Amino acid sequence: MKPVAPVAIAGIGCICSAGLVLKECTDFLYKGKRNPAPPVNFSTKLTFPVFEVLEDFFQSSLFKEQNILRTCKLALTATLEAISDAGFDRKTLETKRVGACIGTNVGCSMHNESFSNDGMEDKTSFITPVNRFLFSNPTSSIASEFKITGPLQTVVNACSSGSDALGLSASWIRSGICDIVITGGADEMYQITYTGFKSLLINDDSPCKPFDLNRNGLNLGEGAAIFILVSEEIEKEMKKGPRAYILGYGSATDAFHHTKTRPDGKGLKLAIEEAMETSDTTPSDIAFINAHGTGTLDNDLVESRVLYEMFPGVPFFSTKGYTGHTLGAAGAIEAAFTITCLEKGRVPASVGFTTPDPEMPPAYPVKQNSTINGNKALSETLAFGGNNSVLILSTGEHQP
Amino acid sequence: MKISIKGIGVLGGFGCGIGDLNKALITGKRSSSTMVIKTTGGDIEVPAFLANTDRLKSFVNKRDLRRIDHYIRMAILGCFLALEDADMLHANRGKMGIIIATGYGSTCNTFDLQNSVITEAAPFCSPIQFSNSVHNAAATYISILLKEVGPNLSVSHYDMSITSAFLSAYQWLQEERVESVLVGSVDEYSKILGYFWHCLYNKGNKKEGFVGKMNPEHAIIGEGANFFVLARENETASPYGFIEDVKMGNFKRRGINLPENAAFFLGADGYSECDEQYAEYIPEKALVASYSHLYGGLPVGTGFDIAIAALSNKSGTIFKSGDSSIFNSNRLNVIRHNENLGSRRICCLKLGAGGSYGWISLNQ
Repeated sequence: MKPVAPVAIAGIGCICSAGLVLKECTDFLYKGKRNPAPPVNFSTKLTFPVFEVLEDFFQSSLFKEQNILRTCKLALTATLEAISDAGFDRKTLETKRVGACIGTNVGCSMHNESFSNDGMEDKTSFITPVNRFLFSNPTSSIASEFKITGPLQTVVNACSSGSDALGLSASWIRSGICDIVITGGADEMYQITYTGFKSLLINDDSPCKPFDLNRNGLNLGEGAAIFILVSEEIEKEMKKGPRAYILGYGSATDAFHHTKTRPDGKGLKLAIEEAMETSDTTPSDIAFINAHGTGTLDNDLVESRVLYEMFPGVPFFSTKGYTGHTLGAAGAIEAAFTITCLEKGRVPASVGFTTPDPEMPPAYPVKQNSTINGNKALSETLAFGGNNSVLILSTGEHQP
Repeated sequence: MKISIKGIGVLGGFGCGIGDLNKALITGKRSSSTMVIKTTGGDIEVPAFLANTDRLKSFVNKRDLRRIDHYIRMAILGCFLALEDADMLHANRGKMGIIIATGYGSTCNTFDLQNSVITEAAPFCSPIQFSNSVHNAAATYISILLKEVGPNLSVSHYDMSITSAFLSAYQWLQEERVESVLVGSVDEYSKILGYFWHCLYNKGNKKEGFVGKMNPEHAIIGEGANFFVLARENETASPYGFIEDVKMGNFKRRGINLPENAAFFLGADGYSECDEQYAEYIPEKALVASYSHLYGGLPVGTGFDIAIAALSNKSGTIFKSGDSSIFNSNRLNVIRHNENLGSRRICCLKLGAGGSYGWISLNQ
């Protein structure tokens, strides 16, 4: 792949258990605290901990869209923050060629509805949830709320959906089909994924410990991170300049297993290579790596080996100990954190890591909040289905 | 940039393979099944165009199929048929991307899974059922079976799914990210959708859905898969023609710019209230056709229209349209008999939920 032009990020919004806006989330990372607990937003007999957004976060008076999934509410909340961060308003979006590309998992499932045979009695109550399922994914909700007139795409690449959405959206800007793209990821916690991950035996019953010897699985989380990408023309019109840039993107597949990471890390290596080539960067340009770091045995082992081989000495960490694994939102939320860490010149301690695993190479995540040098970083996401997605990001002229 | 169609794999109510689709276009033959849905109020009968995946055994051994449900089987078969048609099944394919679109996802498996978790006294979840319910499960099986490690994308955006998949395929080829893309879509029948059809169209449901507004026979539920091998245009002749452009937008907010000198294949399958608005946006007297009578109503039906457009390019013939309740307008010049394609391009147009539209134009 040839190097590609950087794409400007004008604004970012983020919501997850760590905070309701990006600044709150980022500040939380440096506190070294976390409070996962059994879910309260749905009833279940299982009790392993998750990272839920417990606040009544959706300010319904700000939106016309109301009868929508929780995933959409998370996405809309983060979108409004991102638009404001960019210095835009709704009118700006209505007059430009705006597209939306959002990654999700749950946002495309009909959930919290039981369709047993008994349910097939009452026709009136049946059509509403089916229609809601068909017409309300987060991309559609954003398009409807902000009167978007450009292309729409909902990426369902499991846990790499959010970062893939960002990479694909950057292409929309580069190719000139959009002036602005609203992109990112959103996912809510719900009963099916909660129970499903348990069935795969990859849930930790205690707070997760990415890259640690005693890691025993992941904790689920929920949230959304939304980015406003803009064309060069719009970038020039912005008084304060863009906040950050997407420099490169790469993705590749393991072609190995549905839920297990390929032991030789081939897919991840290919994705990293593509991201480095398209961003025209070398490992020495990378200030730090925001790793996927789920806390599962396989993922962390493979990821640490690949990072040791390809980025020796480059600091890395996982933020999943603070937010849980937010699935389709993870890649976007972690890209947002990558940018704010670059802005601050500091990375947070990789919470949960205390004891090195002798099976891993001698490359360990940062144990305490640390200062970093440089303005480029890598954020990587691995997913069910063997999807690997990598973003190279840098800071922009405007830093809040 | 021109994107050539090197191979096509299709299956649905019309049969299996591009040959069966071609036959159906000539003879108009297709066969719907009657599905029975049991409810506490009695059995309900619902017509559906179903796809048969028996041919998959000729591509994949039984052992590799044992954990794979019907939805994923349809996707895999569509892919293998497309690669076979492109003569790329056993060839070195170079760097290939895979993009799979679905409107509903793996609904049978997902609804069973949801019922088992939500309605059972103790939450139970089969790990295989759970991993197969993840939207990119079909793409995963395909990458594993084909040993393809290139970019792999799954998209699900209801009736704009296939257009958004083609948009990404187009971009990947334009950026020279890959040498070819295996792109397509899949959707399946499920009893939930059957019951949804019953609610929308059953004459007894006076207050519901499209009763009295749309023709239920036009909107028979369809299932199936349609896949395409795309590559950048080169010196090699492309019998199916090439993809000229892919556009998406919102016609209610900003209208539609449609290509000139085109015949329009309309994705009017009876599942969108926008179906009746095609006549407002098509250039007056432009040739139009709808083929959902062959493949049924499903969010990714436009994929079949693309396959039909490719067959039209190959044969130089625009096939006669099926009937549709939207053809009452005098503004539409419906293709009632097979016609010479001439120098026309073909535009496969879908008007979808919320005023969204997507079109893909093909030329010879």
